[in-house]
Amino acid sequence: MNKKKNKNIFQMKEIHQLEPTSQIKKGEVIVSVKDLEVQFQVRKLTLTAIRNVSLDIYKNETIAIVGESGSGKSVFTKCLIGMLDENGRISQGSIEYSGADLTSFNSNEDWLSIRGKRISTIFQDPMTSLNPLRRIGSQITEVIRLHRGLDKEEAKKEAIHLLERVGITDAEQRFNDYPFQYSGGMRQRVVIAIALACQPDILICDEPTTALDVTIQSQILQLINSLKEEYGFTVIFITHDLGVVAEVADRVAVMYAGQFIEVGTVNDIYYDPRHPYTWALLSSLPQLGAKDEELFSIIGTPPSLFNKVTGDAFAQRSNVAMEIDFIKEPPMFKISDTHYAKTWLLDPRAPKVERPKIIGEISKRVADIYKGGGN
Amino acid sequence: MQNLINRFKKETPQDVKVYPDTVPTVDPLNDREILLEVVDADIQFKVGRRIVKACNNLNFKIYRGETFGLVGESGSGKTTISRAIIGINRLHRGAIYFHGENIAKKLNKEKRMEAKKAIQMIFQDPASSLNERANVDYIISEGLYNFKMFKNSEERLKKVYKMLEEVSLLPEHLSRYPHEFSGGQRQRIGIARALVIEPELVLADEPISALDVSIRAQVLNLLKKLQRERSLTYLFIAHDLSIIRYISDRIAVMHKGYIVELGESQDIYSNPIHPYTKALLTAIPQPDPKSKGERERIVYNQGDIKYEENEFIEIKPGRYVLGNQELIKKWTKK
Repeated sequence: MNKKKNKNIFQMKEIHQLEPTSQIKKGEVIVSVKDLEVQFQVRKLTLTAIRNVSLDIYKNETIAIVGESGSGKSVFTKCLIGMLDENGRISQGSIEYSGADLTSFNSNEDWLSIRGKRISTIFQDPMTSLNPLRRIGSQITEVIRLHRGLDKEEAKKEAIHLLERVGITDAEQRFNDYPFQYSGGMRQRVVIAIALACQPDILICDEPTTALDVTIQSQILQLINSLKEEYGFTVIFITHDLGVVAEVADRVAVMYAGQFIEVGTVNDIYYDPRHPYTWALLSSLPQLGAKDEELFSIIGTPPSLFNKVTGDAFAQRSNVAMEIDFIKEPPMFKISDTHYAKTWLLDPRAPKVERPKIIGEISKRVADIYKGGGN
Repeated sequence: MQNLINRFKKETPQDVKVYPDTVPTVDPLNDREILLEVVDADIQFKVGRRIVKACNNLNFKIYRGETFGLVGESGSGKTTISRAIIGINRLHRGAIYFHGENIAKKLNKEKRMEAKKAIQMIFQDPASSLNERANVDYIISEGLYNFKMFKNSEERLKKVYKMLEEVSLLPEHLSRYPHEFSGGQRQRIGIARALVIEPELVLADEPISALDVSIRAQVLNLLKKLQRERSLTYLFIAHDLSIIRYISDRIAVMHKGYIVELGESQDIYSNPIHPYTKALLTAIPQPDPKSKGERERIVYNQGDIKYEENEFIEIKPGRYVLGNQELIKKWTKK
């Protein structure tokens, strides 16, 4: 009994160590991930889902994490909010955020000061993140009352204001509706309202538009962007579709087999991609395909992360792999101040490899295809 | 008594248009063979006392060997009409001609089987559309059993092996179960299952929406390859205009149960007329950072455009818009 009490005191101290992030200026580092490694125990086998990654996230930017399913993009963000599954643990590295190392947080009480309050998440399917048995209004006020300590009346006022802000008309009447009375797009708006209720520093959007229609998708993306400008939070946007993020993100980090293989601004990634995997992702977009030509498709499957990956994880599927790609893991080469890529092709000794033709034509193709819309 | 008479009257209205049992299968417009023709199709559902009009006055033709795209947001009725084509939903009014023969009315058993065999479906979610307790061998052969398409098990296996090879799966996959496969592989099983009985028309209902981007390209390429090799006709349903453009020859845009615009896909893209089509086109995310901020998004506001009062007007051969002369003039002027 005594021991337990002591432990709690220790945790309280931990919570107080969080510093406010308000004095961090736009464009400065807000989260710094260093050498992070995440492992899962699956039936006595060890799966390394995140393999030694480092990434700085800047205040008020939108960073998109792009990768196939199983590449570890969701696991990466789950580390930020302490929502790793029970069989998972951070085995190495540090996550620095507002003066604390998030990897040392290990109890629910620790995380309560961060999760939902400072870092909020929007998930893919709004129906599963809302409680179907409770009214929309009470689900929003719950968060406001818990984290901001407002009373019932104030919380209701604030909730209605938030609903209006995310674009729900007649917010006052709809306050008492149940989730099933809302359409898919509106449900996602409610989820955004809940996420914003505590004015978080960081908003993690885990494929927020995959389950939605194209028209609704563009509305939600626009909404997230305008709220970002207004509230000044940082957006971490997870998606598997490079076609979606070009207009939303400031920076893109491409993830493959648990590692960031290329990081850069949107212009770096779309106009000057360096890693063969980024080439493959871009050239397989159906949006860019011409009718009479076959789409580029990546052969094979990602390597199993139960085994140790030697060399470049993408080498097996790459058509420009060199011998060294199978032997030694490439370092992160610096291309410019904003642009990094993890491929041996950037080594001065590597032969010059032409990137697929389609990469240089993205702007031209997009202009050709979409000239009809909007006029 | 009066009630009974009224009810009787309702069921046999005087002004019912009679649809012939057969229609010619060659389009006089361009001499192409019409594989499927939908005429004045209405589909209604009763929800309690309310009647939901899911599809209203749909008219379109699908030519042999082409890919016909059906686009629209969820709830626009695109899946409903495709289910009517395979005979799951009943038409309230109208007719569906396959090979010039009306398949929307009551058919005898033989004819119904024939139609079922010739029209197959590929579903959106390969995880839920495959029987998870059956192995791949059975899933693929089920159609062969149903239509008794083999003399002995040797012949059946031969057909299954050939199909597997065409969708790039391996013979050893036959004894496995759906959960052992990745999303892309499962969709290939779904494709193999549909194509093994050699249909002429394949209804693909959002076949790649649930897949990862890298796998989308594989499945799209596979669908195109199979179309070339087997001269298949596709009805391709999607909510995403960017994918429809790549795969379709002609497109119909649906909204709230109506087809608002229909035409050659290139034409629709470069020259959209109906405001809903324009809104849909501006909503596509473009994979080009340059377009950020430059592009204006049109939010569609139906306003006083009453679909039920509008007509499906052919503004030039093969190009249709739902509206009236006045509206179309207004839309084309802009």
